Amino acid sequence: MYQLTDRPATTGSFAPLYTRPAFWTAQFVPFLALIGFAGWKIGRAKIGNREARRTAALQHEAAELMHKLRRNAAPPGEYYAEASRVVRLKTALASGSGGLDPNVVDAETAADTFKLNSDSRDQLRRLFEQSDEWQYSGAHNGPAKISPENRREVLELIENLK
Amino acid sequence: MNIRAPLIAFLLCALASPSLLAQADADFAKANQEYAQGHFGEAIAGYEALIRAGQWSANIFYDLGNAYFRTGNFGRAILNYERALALEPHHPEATANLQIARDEARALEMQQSWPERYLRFASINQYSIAAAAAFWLGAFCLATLIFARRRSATMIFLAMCCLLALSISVFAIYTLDRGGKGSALAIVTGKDVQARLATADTANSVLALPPGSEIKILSTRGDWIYAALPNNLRGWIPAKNAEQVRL
Repeated sequence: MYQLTDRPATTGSFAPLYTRPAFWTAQFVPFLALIGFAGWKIGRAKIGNREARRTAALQHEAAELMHKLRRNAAPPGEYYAEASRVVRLKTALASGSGGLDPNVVDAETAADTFKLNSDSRDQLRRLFEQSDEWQYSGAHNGPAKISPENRREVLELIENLK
Repeated sequence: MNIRAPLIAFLLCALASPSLLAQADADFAKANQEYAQGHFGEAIAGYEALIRAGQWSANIFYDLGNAYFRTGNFGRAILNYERALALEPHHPEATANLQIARDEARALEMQQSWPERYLRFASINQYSIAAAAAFWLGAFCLATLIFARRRSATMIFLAMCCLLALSISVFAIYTLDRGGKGSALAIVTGKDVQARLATADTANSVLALPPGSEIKILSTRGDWIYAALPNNLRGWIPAKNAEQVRL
């Protein structure tokens, strides 16, 4: 029946852990973590909703413009402006959650986004040039009317952007 | 001006605590020395002074138990071994000596219910930590489920497991704390103690309790304790003849 001669530096307690104030004070750490986690999740959900609304608006606008382009009724200036706008919208949609602004998309960005070959790239560049010409000069060097062949080519180019 | 008083008190405490610890170490060493020289009465006085000063540790209660054992006071020896085990449930020396003291004194033990027997593999403190961990993990799972677009089956399963672990832990805490070896556990320290049917020395005896026998205090009335006794009996015993294990 030998004695134990080492005495622990800290004193013990008979009170169960759940009755000690330190135990309940320590619960603030996970509580604050939970509040932070919930806040982060709510923030992400809000960002997700905003992104979803933006995507839906872009898709709606692109679908409306495509519908107008297929009707064949628009004058050349309007037609090219709308066609280039559809390309910008499709590029912004294809850029994913990065949130590319459709107004800043140019022919090169669109071609890079859709990884187009050189022919399609040239076509796209021409489309943007024609759109700019009609928009800024109010006139066009070519014919005043767009031939059905040209309209078909533009429509095919836009529809193949995937 | 207002901040000065607490600051001075804090500094005094910070300066005084190392010297208090050194004093406690010296008192403990002196008590051990008395024991080694066979002066068990002086050793008991030394250990008890430390305990009165709040220096509670399993080793001090174990040493005090040994000193009482050497004086033949098995009731108090068992009480102090039990206190050592209450502070440190897996104290091997206290467990061994408690068994020896019980055998010497023929002390009676409380019967444990079957859930108590199975749940005793962990302590109340461990169950408290498990309950807190399960609660917070479950809360995080629920938060994830609430904010998730799609409910993940894994997350639901994890939340259910946390709820189950929390329920088991809370049940274990309640069972162990209220059980035969819980917070109300007391040890008979007097000799020739009789549990009686009423609060009178002349009342009929229910059970003779050898020193070191376990009882569970149910209520007190004046100088008498109404207690659950070993063998599933109940009776009254004088309060001076028993001491609660948890201080």
